[in-house]
Amino acid sequence: MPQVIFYDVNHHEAMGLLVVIYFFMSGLGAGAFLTGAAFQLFGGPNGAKIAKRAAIAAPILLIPGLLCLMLDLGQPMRFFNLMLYFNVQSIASWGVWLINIFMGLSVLFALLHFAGKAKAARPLAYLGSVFAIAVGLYSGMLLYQMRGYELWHSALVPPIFLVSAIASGMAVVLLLSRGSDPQAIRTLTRALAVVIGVDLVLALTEILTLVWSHGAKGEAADVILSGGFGFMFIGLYLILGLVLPLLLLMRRQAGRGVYVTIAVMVLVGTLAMRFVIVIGGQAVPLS
Amino acid sequence: MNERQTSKEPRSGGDREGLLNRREALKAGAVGAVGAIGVLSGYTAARAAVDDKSAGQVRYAMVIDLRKCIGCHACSVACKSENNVPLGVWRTWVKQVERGGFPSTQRHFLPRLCNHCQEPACVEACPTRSAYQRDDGVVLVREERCIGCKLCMAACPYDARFFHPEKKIVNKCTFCVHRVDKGVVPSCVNTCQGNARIFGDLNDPDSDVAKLVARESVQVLKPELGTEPRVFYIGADTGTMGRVRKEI
Repeated sequence: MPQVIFYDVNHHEAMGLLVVIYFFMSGLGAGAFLTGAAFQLFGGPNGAKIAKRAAIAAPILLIPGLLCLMLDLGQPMRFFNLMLYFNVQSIASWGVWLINIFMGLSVLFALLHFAGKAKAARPLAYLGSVFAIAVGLYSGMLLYQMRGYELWHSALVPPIFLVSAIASGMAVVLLLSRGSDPQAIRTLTRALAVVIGVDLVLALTEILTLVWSHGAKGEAADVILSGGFGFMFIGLYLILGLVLPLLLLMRRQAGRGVYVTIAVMVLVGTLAMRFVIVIGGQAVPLS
Repeated sequence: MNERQTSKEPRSGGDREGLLNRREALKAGAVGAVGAIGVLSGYTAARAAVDDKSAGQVRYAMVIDLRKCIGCHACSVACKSENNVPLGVWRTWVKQVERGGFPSTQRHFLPRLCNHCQEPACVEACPTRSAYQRDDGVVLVREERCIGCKLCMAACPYDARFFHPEKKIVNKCTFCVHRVDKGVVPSCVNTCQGNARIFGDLNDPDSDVAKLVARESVQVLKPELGTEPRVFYIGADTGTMGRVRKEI
């Protein structure tokens, strides 16, 4: 029996492209910081060069993302209200403080590395890593809190956001690793392969959860698996961003060109995933 | 750190070593669990403080009796003029769905507005506490504080909130508190041709809304989300209440 909506109001979506860019950039910052901290703490002298570059990259990636978030506000000059008022129940309220503290720590970490005082930055590497993980998790947690949208309201969204943040941060560090110790680069690519593998498992689990559901969740599955969003999610994220890099990382010998290709593919895939989850998540109307 | 040190030592201890490791892991786990419980209990205590809405208090609610609704949109128009709502956005509107084909066909109406939920998801999500709930249950926006982050819009599962194109903040139905506080019903209720919209104090057993909610079989939108809407429908078509598919 045919059915038509003769009249209804759908207000425009709440989160736009600037939020996508913010999620992407803050993820890059957190991932780069974690990579840098890991190389500094466990990489020995071989990893020092990579650690330094990653440490300096982290705040440079994070801060433009935060500016995007500010520009997304209807009243950008009132952003300080986020610091003046606190809502215990709001993930965003917690996130503001997490990201502020993380920004401070990452700037300090970068400055210490820049000044060649890497040794003094060791405690910062530990503390900052905790906040980097929290920042990576929080963006997904923010979406998870929004119970109206099926694509967001999934317990797998926060871990997917964290893992892809780490993968994309590692990709940036891989891009910046020219002239570093080959042993350190090998360690980085191996770790990247593991992270991409975890990302792939989480993504496939999430897709199957949606596909095996009915109602609004099933509609959300249609959104991310067909049409333009489907192309971005399957083509750019799953295949170009996860499967192909994983296959390339399996090769025993790889040159600089292969590494750059892998890094770019992971970055494109992560951005596409963020876009599909945030924008595509709002594509299923609420009524 | 501990793990690193122990794993570097030779595995001479065998089982004993493993036992120790396990014990330490358990200890760390216990500490973590205690920490988590601490954080969680703090959270629930805070929630309880937020949820503690004093009993015996006025609780405004609306009943929309669809047996009387003729789909005339007078409520939408009255709201627009009463509250100066800009073009393109709506505080209240009437969803209409047509089903079937000639001659067996039916049109369903569903007037929509903010549900003034008992557990509002928007208030939960707002990072500046601009979205808030009055003691009488009305959910409002502190306009001078709102930063326009639109998270409340994302949190609301009913699409009841919108971005005000001129004020550049989030705006929504206020249950016409400027009228209600002076003892007059909201504008949409005032204008309704068939008296389909009924407004009043749910906690007052003699009020029309309390009587209707007690006597009739009432429905709310998306009850499964736990928001506990306080806009009740009588005789709403369930197909129209949910997401409408092209074929049923």
